[in-house]
Amino acid sequence: MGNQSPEPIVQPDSDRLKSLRIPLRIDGQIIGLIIFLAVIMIVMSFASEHFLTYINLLNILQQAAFVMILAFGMTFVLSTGGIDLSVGSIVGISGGMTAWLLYHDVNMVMAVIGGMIVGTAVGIVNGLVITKLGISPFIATLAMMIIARGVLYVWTGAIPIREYMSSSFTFLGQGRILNIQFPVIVAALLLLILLFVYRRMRFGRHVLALGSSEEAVRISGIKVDRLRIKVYALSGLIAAIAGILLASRLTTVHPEMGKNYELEAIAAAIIGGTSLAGGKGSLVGTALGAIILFMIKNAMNLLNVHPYWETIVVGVIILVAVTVNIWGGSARIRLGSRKALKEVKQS
Amino acid sequence: MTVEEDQVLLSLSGITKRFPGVLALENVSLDVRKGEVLALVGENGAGKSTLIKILSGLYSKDSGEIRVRGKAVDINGTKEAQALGISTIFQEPSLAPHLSAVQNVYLGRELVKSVVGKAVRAMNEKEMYLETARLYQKFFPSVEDLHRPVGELDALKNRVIEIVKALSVDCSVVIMDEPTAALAEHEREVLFDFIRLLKAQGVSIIYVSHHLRELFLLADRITVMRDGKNVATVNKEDTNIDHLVSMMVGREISNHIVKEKVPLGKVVLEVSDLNRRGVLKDINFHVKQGEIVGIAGLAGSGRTETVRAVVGADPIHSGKVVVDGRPRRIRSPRDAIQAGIGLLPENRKLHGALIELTVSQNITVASIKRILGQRFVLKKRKETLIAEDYVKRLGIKTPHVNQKVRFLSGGNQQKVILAKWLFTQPKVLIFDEPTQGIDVGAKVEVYNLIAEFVRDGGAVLMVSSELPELMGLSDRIYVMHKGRFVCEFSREEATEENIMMYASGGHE
Repeated sequence: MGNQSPEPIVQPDSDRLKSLRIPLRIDGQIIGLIIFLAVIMIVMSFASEHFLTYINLLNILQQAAFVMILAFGMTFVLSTGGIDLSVGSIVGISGGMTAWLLYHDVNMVMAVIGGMIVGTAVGIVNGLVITKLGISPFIATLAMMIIARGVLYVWTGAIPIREYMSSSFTFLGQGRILNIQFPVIVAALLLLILLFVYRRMRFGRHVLALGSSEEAVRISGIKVDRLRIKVYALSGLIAAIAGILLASRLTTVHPEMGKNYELEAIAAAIIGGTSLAGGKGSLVGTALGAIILFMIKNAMNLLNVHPYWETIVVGVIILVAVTVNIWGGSARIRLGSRKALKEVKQS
Repeated sequence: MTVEEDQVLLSLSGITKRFPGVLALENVSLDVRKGEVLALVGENGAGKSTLIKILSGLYSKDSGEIRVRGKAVDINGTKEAQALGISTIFQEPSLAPHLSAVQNVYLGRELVKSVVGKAVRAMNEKEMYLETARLYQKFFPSVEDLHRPVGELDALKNRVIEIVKALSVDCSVVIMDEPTAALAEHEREVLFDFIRLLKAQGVSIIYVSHHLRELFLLADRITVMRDGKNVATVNKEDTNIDHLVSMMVGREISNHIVKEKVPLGKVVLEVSDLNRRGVLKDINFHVKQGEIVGIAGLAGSGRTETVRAVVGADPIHSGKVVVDGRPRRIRSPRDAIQAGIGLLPENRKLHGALIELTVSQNITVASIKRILGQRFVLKKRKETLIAEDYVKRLGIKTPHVNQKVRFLSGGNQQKVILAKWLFTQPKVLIFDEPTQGIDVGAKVEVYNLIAEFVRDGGAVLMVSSELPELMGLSDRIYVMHKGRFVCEFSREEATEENIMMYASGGHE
């Protein structure tokens, strides 16, 4: 929308289908990420013959899918200026819930719904603690991260949950449609749905506004607390989806499942251009960020780089991405104020 | 004077609001007539903001009655206020900077249309854009800014977008709280034209401002508030500034600030050939002992940039600073402090005061070495004594020196900052908008403190957008335009007209 020229004011009549259309904003940020991806791919295709194969690329997507899904929820949270550190633990606890229900011969649909309810409930508690107790999102979700993980340990007695797999549940994590792994398809569908929510629905607009200026949102008569609780609930629900898929993928729910995923999700969102300060976010960028993260891991694997190096490289990439972001952003604002100055001079 | 019933759009009677320990509003009554500008004046804490918040639905009244077109109403929440046709433009910018004008105007009441059944509703961007553009074009012909984040637009356009936001809910009363706060002189004029336009369309305006001169350009009637009560409502024709001020403060104070003559000493601060590419060009000036030198200019002319460059807060490309005859290399505010120059910056909350720290911590923070004992331990006792001394000398109103600065009024915060700089024992103090956002009584106190500093042998450089203040205090005034000093006036030569002519580039 930002690039669309404002005149003429009226565009030809839009029908219902058209309003379902999701505005794909291709800005400098996205182009930068695509160029970065392309560079990695070109370099790697020379460096390793195994890289640029259909199977390997699909594998990267499959590996990225779980963190990507988490990062979508994180993008909403970060857009409000908040943060959700508990998503990794939610992955564990809701995946655990679904596995436990399946183990006790509960119908698969009910088990999946059960897992999603647990994730959403944890998210709602996060939201309540943040809004009603006035605790900062960082601390509230840090505490929840530790508590939820602890609950999982106590509940399972630190013994992994096994022997819950059924053929239909196997499909969630390991099945394929048109030879594409199901988690990748879920990630893609979620991207489309959430893009619509983020850009075309009031909720998404309010989320961005909240991160930009809470005061503005309050004055506009929006119930800020309720909005914030919804955002953390959404993040919890999305984390639960990732957890359930992962439970199917791994066939065992270890009490450590999902540990540190919150940091990878935050990294993916930040590489994708979402600002920690709020008011600015991009789901497409987040998806690309997750792919970049896992493509680099894959590349280093293929090049036989010691895994210890991986974290160093990922850290450096986060720094570079954020630096480019800040510099790009400030250049734009400088441009804006210069233009404003010119207008003042002319008038 | 009698007014026909149907002329009164909004009427308040006996409004009372109590906060823990404070009676914020006591039995306030006033009428707003159709198509008039009713100005609301009073010192900070007089109850204006509370009254506005009650009218806009952010606070609820304890007792009293609000009538809109003769009908008694209750206002719970901003949406209800809007439904009654009351819109408020708050003092603090209330737009979300990352959102565009259209998004801001419709924030919280976005137009939607069903997409899949009734449940999934997408925003109707086209409708929102068209309506915003229609209203915006009443003020600016070009709509190209409507899609840009408002944070990238200038202050005037932000104000206009807030007005558009108010108008878009089909309101009959617009409340404006200090709408000209961030605007330059000529932008104010533009805004006044817009307000007159609104008035001509039959919209009533409640206009709150500290700038009494503005009111006489705009208002039909003026209501004066003091200590939570409305003191009087007068027609513009029947009053003048001195009269208003005396009603506001409840005592006669001189509105004419004149600095007493102090014998001038040697040159304390001399700046020559100061350049910052694209911002400042060939700045030369000096300040003598016992002298107050003013810098006038429109917003964006480089006034703040000049003083920031002098104290090393911004990089410069060339320039020489001589303090007390000694050339000084000033690359950071720390160097400036050591050279004896202190800057009291424009934005108190952002740059001046550490609002989460106590009064005493704020006073000593810039000269921490002077209260340092052995082994790097701060001498708490000494700090307290020093702070108490300054609190007494400057008349800072605070229960004790361990109070957090956040809880002090604007005027007292400014005095704490002044105390901090006095404690650095400066030769030159630079004030950037020293009385911005503080009330009349406190302003006069700040003027007196500035005058006292000069009388004791200090030198002052002062930037101010308020010409009466600048002309009343300064011995000499430099006028800036587009990053240059274009003119210098002595106190006798300076008139508002000739300063404005040079400041607006009228000499070219």
